[in-house]
Amino acid sequence: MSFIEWFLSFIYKIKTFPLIIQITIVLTLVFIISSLALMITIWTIRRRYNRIQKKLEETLPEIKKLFEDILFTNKIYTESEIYKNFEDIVEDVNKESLDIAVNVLVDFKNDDRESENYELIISALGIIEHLERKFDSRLNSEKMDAFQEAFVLNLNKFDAKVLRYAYSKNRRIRSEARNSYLALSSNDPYRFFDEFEGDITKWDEIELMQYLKLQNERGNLEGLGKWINYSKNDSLVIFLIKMVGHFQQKGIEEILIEKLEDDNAKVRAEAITTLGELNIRETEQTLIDRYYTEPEICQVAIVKTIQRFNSGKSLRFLQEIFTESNNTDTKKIIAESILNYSYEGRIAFQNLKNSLKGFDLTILKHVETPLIKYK
Amino acid sequence: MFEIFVKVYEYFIFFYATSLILSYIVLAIFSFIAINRYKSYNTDIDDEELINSDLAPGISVIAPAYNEEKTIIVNVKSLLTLNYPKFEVIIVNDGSKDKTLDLLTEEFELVEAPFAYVEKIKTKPYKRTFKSTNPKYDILTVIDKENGGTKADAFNAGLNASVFPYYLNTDVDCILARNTLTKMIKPILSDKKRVIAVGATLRMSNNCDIEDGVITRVRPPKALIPRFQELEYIRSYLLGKMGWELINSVPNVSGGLGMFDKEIAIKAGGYGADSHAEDMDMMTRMAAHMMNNRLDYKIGYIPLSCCWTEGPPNLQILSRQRTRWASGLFQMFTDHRKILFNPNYKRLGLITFPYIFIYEFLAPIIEAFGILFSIFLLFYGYVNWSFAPLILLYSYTFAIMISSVVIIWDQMTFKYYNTTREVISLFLTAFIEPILYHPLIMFFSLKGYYSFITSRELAWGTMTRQGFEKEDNKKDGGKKNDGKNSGDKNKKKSIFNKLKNNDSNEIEPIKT
Repeated sequence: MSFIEWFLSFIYKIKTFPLIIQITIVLTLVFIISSLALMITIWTIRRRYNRIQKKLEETLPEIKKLFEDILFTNKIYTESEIYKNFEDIVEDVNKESLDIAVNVLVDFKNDDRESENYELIISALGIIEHLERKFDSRLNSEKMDAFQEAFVLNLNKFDAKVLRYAYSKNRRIRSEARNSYLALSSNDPYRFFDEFEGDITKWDEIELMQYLKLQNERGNLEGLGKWINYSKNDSLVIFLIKMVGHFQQKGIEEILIEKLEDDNAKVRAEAITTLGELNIRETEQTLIDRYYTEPEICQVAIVKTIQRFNSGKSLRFLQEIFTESNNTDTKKIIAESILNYSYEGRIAFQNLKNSLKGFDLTILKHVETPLIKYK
Repeated sequence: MFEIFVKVYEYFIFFYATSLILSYIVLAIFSFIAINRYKSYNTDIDDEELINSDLAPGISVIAPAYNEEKTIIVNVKSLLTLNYPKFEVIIVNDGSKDKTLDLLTEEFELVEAPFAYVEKIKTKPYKRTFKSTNPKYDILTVIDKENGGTKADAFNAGLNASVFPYYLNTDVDCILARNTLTKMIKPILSDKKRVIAVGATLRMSNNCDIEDGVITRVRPPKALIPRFQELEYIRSYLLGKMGWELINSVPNVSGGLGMFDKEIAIKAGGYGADSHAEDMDMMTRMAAHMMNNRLDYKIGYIPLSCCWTEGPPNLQILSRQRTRWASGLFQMFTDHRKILFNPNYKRLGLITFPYIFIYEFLAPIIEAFGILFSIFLLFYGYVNWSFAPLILLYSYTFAIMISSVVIIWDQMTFKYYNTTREVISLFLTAFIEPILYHPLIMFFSLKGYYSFITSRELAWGTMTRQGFEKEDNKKDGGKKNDGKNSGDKNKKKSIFNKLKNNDSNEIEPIKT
């Protein structure tokens, strides 16, 4: 009997079975065929992976060596020499090999290995065009890579590309594009500060901060006070107040004092902290006056700010609130502030140690011991 | 009458199995989407950004230890090598009877330090805190407490001692990848919703190379039981939990590796102190707390393997481990029974809990009944020999197919194994797993249920470690901890008492 005859008789036989059995047979066949197909897929994935690994093993050390030569030695290369040497190593200058080249450069940058010759390699290998192609890719992973690689390589020639994605329907891409615009645009990097949608995430904050750092390095960091003043987005305002403190931007006292009256306790707390960062000591008494009416988050900010002012005027206040506070975490912060509050603070701390016992004394010892890194 | 019963039973089993199969297929599709989504929006450059950022939030790594002298030093070293800008490592010595504490003290130059320990969550008495005099280990804190009988009690003590807003819970028998913290904090940082927990994949360390607490080469285990477990873990994490992640219904973040929002964990009452499924119990409490307070939340999952743990090397240890897990599952459904099919708990009450109840909790019971019933039918000649093998083949081929899918998903995510042979060896394991391993798991699950119902004592730390020394050093090991010396054990309440008393471990009731 031929296979076809056997198969037809099998089909005919199946038709005589109960429905459940028919379904079972069909599904079992589907499972067997799928398993075989999956097995072949595993094999194919591994083969491709092994090929790439082999290529990486062969070319990566060579590419690294070439780039180290160009970037960190005094040897002088022309663009065509760089291209030729690179081509000799990878055989074919294509997307795959350019990805390896970009990864090597990104690794150097991340290791803070600076050189003036990065642009030479970027230009010689056409990395700008390569990144543009990645921006145009259908794959979101490629776009995300392009955003980050362009930032790490300090390339700000992608206004048009990034702008296109700043209005993408995809929330993640849109957000990444708007954040990156700050670093990748040379025309109007702060354009999207007015257009943040809803709360910014902590990851947005991390990205924005590094882009602001880059603007600072480029000497293009603008005063952030105007956005703090006008923005209705509390999460953005909190972040920008924090950045004002980080970048020590002056001339913003009035805005910060105004923010002490904000309805949002987190905004008030950040404003208080930044007053400390900027060492605006005139506000010390205002902060002390506010202490008892503020929630815990602001109280902690006030204590830390007063310690930062270190004016010598508020030791008594710190001692009082240490005795009055019932919250152990707050007490630890107050105790630490007393300990670090100049020479008088240290004496007051010792006096407290001599007069207190029980858990309060343990808190003081906890704060005092240098063995505990994070109090 | 009997024939009608047989007919109904046959249909029930068919539809039960088919619905399970369908659910797996749906989860496979969901996990595929979730894995691709993760891969699209997360890159290794993110790690660098986070490590170099002043805004990286602090993380407390909490690992309880009970009689872990074999592996404690290597594992603590592994935790100390994590690559993250701001973290502390808290080891909770849960009244170990062996040399765990002595070894820690000697190796890390520990001394007793004054520590303001606040009992935000009630635990068995705290004794003291140790800190290192060596600045190299200044992020290490060792909490010494009385044995609480469960890992949950030890976790709670670690939670009380922690200072950072997020914590990673892990076991001291786990080796973590160096980038675990950066990878696991990212979903928390990048979501607009409050992410209360994040999980990642665990694998077996049995055949891996480990140098100074760092995994240097990953291989599938040589021994059959850990290899089965490797496949089972990958399936459970990559297919199950990643699938659930897409619809924000992750049922459980593993106790071996999970990152949590500390504020929510404490507000939810911490870990159920007498829980033997402390991970699922904790997740349920936190989710219930968020829903009670009408707060939007998310439980995240990442498809990367960040943790390697020693798998049970023999049947005896596998039996102990699975019995404890099954007992914990029973306990979980007893403690949180109000959630099951409760629309007030939304997805948790109507999807996640029912799914686990029907397809995980009831599965061993249905299977065992099926086997007994088949034996009965065999004796009375009711077995339809034309179709019976076909039904078996149906389940068997599906099991192989789903394992193949999972291996592909694993290869898609990150290629942990260096050689194709290693991948194939795992693939071949899928052929014998349903025959050899699955019946054992069913049996141990039933044993766990029985233990729970009859209130038999189950202490944590019943996993005998072989340690990470070379083979020739292992021969004298294995006698450290056989579960008999678990110290101060909690006499468990019987299921009937539990059903009567809504004691402190009951979750918060829904506020309507």
